[in-house]
Amino acid sequence: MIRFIISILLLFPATSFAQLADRLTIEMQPAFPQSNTPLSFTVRSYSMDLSRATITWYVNGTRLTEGEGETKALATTGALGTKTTITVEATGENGESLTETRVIRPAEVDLLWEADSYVPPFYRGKRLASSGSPVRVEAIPRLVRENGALMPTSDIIFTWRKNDAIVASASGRGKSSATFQGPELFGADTITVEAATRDDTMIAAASVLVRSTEPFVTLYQNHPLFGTLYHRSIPAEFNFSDSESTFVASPFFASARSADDPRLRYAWRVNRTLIAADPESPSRITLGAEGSDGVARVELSLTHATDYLMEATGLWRIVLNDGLGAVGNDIFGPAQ
Amino acid sequence: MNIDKAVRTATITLLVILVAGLGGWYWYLRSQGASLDGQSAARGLGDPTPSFANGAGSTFENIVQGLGFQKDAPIPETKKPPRLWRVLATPGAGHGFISGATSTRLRFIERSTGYLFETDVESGVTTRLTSALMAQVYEAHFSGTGSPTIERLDGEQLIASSLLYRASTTGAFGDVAEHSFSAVRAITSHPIKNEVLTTVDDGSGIALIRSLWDGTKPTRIFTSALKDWRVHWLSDDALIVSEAAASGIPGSAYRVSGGGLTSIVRNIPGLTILPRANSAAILIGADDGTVSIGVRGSAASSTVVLPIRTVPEKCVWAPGKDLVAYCAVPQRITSQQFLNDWYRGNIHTTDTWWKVIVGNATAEQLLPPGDDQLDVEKPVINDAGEYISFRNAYDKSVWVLRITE
Repeated sequence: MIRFIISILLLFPATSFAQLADRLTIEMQPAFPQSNTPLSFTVRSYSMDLSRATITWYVNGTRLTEGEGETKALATTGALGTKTTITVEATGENGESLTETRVIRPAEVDLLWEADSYVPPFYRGKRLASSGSPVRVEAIPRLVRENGALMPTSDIIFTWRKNDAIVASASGRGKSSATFQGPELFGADTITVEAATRDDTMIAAASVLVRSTEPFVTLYQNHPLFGTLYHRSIPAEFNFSDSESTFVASPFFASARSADDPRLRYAWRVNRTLIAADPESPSRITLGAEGSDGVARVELSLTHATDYLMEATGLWRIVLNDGLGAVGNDIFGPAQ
Repeated sequence: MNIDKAVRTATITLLVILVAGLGGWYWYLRSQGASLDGQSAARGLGDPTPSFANGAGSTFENIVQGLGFQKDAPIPETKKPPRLWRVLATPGAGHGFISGATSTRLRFIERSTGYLFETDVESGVTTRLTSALMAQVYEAHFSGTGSPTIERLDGEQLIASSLLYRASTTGAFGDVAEHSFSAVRAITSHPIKNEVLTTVDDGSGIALIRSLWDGTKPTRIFTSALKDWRVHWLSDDALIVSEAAASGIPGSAYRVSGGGLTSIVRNIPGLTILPRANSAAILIGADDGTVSIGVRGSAASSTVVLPIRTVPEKCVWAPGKDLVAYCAVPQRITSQQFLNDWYRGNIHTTDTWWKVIVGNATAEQLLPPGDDQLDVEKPVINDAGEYISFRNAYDKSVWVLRITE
C-alpha cells in the first residue's frame, strides 16, 4: 500500500507535466481586458519548437494571421457582454498539430476613493488623505452577461489588496467597498481590487495610488452678518481695518471631524505671545484693532492629540489700520 | 361771578404758560437735535436713515450702505439695464430664473438676511418678496418655480431646508413655508419642479433621496460608500454624479439609472463636468497642472478639446436644439493647482464671456473684457436663452448678462 502511494506521488507530477507539455499556452496582455481594448497574445509550448512551426491565429473562427514562427498576434476586445474567442493552431515540422483556445469576456471596474479627513463646510474639492485619516474605497464593477444584463454587485466576488497584500477581512462576495487606514506621512499606498464572477469567466481589476498629503491651515474671516467667508482665504499679509474681527482656521485634510475636534491642539500666538485658545472653539481667534496701528504677527501651530506626526503651521502678517472703519474693509476689496 | 372770572383768567394764564413751555421745550430739543446731527455728520455718520420707500427694503439698504459696498446707480425706468450689470452688491446665496413667466424674472436670496428678492431683468426693477429673517444663508439652489432650497450652518453642521414661496394676496410681502431636513450633507432643487434631492449620511455612506419639497414621497435613488459626490440634477430628470475633484487626481462621472451607475467619463485628472439635459452632450474639464476643457457632443463621439481654458463650473448650456454653451474664461490662470486653490478661495480669476459652438468645436468672445473683475460661478440661463445670471466668487455678488446686445 505504501509503495502504491509513493508511486502515485512520484508519477503525478510527471503526468501533469506531460499534459502541460502536450498543450499550447496563450498568454494575454493586459491580463484583465476591458471593453474595446487592444490585446496582445503570445503562444508558448514546452513540446514543440514554435519558431519552426506554422502558426495560425483565429478570432471568433475567422483567420487573423498565419505564418512560420508567428507566436504573437494582436486583437481587440468587443463591447461589454460580448465574447471573443481566440484560437491558435500550431503545426510542427513533423506534422504534429496542437490547438489552444481562449475565451475573453471583457469586464471593467472603476476604483474610487476619498479620505475621511477634514475640509470646511461647502468645500467642493476632494478630501485628500493624510497620515492617520481613514480612506474609503468603492469599486464600481461592470460585468455584463451575454444577455446584456449587468451582474449585480451582490453576485460579484471582490478581492481587495493593499500594497499587494490581500486584505481578507475586506474581501468577499458583494463587498464592493472597504475602508483602509491612510498612508503614512509622506508615503503612498496602492489599493487594488479584483472583481470576478464565481466561475472566474469574467475578471476585472483596478488600482489607485493614494498619496499622503500634509495637512495645512487656511484662515477665513468670520463676518458677523455673512458668516464665515469660506470663499476668500486670508492671504499671508493683509490689511485689517475693522475694530474687531474673528478669524477661523480650517485644518485642511487633518484627521478630524470638525475644526474644533478635541483631538486638535491649537496654539495661537500674536506677536510671539501665546494666546489662550477659546476652549469652546479653539479654531477661532478674535482680533481687535481699535487704537492700534502697525503689523500684528499671528501664528498658529496645530498638532494632533493621537497623531504625533501631524503638525501644521500658519503665519499671517496683519497690517492694522485703525480709524478706517468698516468701509475700508479689505475683505471686499478689488480682485487681484 | 368774580370767582368765575378769576378761575377763567387763571386757566387761560395756565394754558398760555403751558403752550409757551412746550414751545420752549420744542425749540430746545430742535437745537439739540441739530447739534447731534452736526456731530454725527462730522464723524462721517451723516447718511440719512434708510427709508422703506424702495422695493428692496431698509435692511438691505442698511447692509449695502453700512458696510461700504459700492451701491449701484439706480437704473432709470425708461432705460434697459446695461448688458452686464450687478443685481446684488452684497453677498448672495443663490439665484435662478423663473420658468414660464411672462417677463424674464430672476430670484435670489441675500446671504445675510435670507430675504428673497425678485428682479425683472428687462426693466432692472428689484423687489423684495419676503420679510422673514433667515440669518446667514450660505447657499441657495433655485427651482424654475422660483422656490429655493437653502443651506445654513449651525457651527459646522449643515442645516438644509426647502422653501415654498407664497405670494401675498394683499400686496404686502409674501411668506415662505419651510421644511427642514436632518442628517443631510447637501441639498439641491429640481431645475423645474418643486422637488428636492437630499444627500443623506447614514454613517456608512450616503443615499440620494428624491422627495417633494416638504420631504413627502421620498424615493431612494442611489446609495454609495463614498460621501462626496457632486450631483447634477437635470430638467429631464437625469441624474449625473461625479467624484469631488482635486487637481491632478483622476476622477470619474456616472449616470445614475435604476440605482446603478453607467460610466460617462473615466479617470480624468481634476475632472469636473457640465452635462446637458435631453442630450448626451457634456463639457469635460481637466486639471493636471494645466486647465483644459473639452466637449463631447454625443455618447458615441470622442472628446474634442476646446480652444479656451476654463472649468465647466464657469459654463452653462444654452437651451434649444443647437449645442451651444457659454463659458466664462479666466484671462489668465497662474496656479499649477487651479481647482485646489480656487475651491479654497486662495485665488480668484478675472473672466470674460465666450460662446462655444460644439458643432465645430470653436469659441468666440461674447463680450470684450470690461472693468469689472468677475470670477464667475453658478451661472444659470433663462428658458429663452437670452440672459445669464451668475455669482462673482470673489464677493458673492449677483450679476446678469444679456447675451445679445
